[in-house]
Amino acid sequence: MAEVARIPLTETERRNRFAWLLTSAGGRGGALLILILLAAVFAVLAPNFLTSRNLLNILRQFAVPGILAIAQTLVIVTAGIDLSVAATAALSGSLLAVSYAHWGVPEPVAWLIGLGSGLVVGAVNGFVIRYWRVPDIIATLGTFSAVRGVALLVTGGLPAPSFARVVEGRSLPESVNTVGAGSLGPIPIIALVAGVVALAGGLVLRRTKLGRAAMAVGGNPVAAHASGISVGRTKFWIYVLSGLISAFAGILLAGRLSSANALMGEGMELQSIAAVVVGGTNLFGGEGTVGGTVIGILIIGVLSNGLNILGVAEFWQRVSNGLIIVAVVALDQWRRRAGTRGGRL
Amino acid sequence: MPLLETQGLTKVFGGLHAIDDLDLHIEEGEIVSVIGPNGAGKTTFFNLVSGMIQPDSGKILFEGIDLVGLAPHQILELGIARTFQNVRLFQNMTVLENAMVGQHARTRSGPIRAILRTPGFRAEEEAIRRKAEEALAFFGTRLIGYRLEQPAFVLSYANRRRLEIARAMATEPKLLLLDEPTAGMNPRETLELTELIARLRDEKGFTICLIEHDMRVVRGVSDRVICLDYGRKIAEGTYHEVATNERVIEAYLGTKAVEGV
Repeated sequence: MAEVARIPLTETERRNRFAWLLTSAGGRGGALLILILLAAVFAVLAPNFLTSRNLLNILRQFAVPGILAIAQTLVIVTAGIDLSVAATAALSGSLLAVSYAHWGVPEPVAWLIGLGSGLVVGAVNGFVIRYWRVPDIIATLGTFSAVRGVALLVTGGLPAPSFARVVEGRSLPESVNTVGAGSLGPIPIIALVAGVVALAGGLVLRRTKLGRAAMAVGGNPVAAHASGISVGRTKFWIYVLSGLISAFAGILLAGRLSSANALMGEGMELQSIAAVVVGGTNLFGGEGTVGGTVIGILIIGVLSNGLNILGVAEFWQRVSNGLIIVAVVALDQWRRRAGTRGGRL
Repeated sequence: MPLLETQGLTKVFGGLHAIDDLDLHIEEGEIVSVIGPNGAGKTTFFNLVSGMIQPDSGKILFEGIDLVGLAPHQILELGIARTFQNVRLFQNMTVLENAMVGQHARTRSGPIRAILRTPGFRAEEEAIRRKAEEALAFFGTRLIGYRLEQPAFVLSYANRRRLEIARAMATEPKLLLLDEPTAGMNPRETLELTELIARLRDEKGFTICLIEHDMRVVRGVSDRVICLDYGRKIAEGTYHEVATNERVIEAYLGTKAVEGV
């Protein structure tokens, strides 16, 4: 490369440069700070909050919403949104349970059916958005409802496996129980798995062609075209990937609950969006990190757990949850504006 | 065989013939300017060639391959890159990343290699970075040094335009379409870019087609000038021929009062 030349900055550029430093120093840092503050407050107020047992419990409980939020992150950086993640998880878990315990298929086949259902839902989302030009939010609102319906049809509205219909006295496959409810020493396996998914998701987003294309598509679709990126193809595969990850999360959820049902995980799609946004990912696409999302889901988890320990009623928790989400994002917006002095967006 | 050739190219928006039965050709190694009054169909022509929109009829042949029906990324892979009248950058990406994205179509590492960070993946990353830096270094010191790591949104307007050209260069095109590259630049920057466009052809070997309103730029760089009006080619030739062509003057200034009204 040529010599690094130092040309003097103009006044505006100097200010912009400072603003840019501020912005990049914030981002995930802001959410991390809030997480630490929240944890500190609960550590003081709630007697049993800061015990390893409780902290591991938070990880166990929020592993599945966390994985869904990682899928959601990949979609949101493309400026899309996937309302069907939780429904897909419920369908996949239900299909796995029903196919294994009721239909009597072998264990690996049940896994394939579960994960495959996620690929199908993702492909349907991607197809409808790409070829029928249906807005992302509408397409996935459709699957959000339809997929739950299919899950209800598959399970007959009953928990699966349901005693009356099992063959050969089967319940959930052992492998599903292990990853969902087992632990490795003191650490819940489900939390470790979520950690691996987060690492893989981060790598996909930052290092692979698909991930970088996703960032580009969300950042500026026209510029993406000009850079040789197919916007339609990128979004299609991102939705397929989101479906696959959601399906995997659904199997873990079935394992954690020792049973699947068509309505499990309701509301988790909104929780996943909240985690993504709290984690500093731009809802309008083009910027975001999986690390931020992990912090986002931990904020939600710590908040709900801490309030539980403090004995705050569920009704109030819903209120405070909403307030915190809006407050964190408002803070982030304010920081960005202050940072760039109206320089962008 | 011309590098780019259109035959009977037509694009209609509602009742408006934005491009009307257009035949033109660009030879390899040429610098061709497309001029014409506002609404003459210049940008529509670029949009058609780059696959952003599809024509209603006609052919667009690039090295003999018909581009009609191909998606923008496929056309880019064949070797046509463009810039935009209104700069389109990834605002939140750094200068270097913006230039690196340009090579997206030319990379092959899949997810497995990326996650395992195989030597092949790292070598490819290194090559992408080097090529991006090479494209950026073409603009002297304006886009390199500390600027490599700055996000695009802090750049000055002229630098954004330069970065967009660098991104297009990084796609390793044969044909470069520049849509008003000097719009919004001051006279000094315009002069500098005029020289740079000539260097893009002479040193990098790109064939260049540009839309330009600044006649000093057009005079400075063009081997050939094509003037469009209402989507039709009304004149073609050297700068001098086109600039003195009566129909061109009419198109820009209106018809003589003698003929009625």
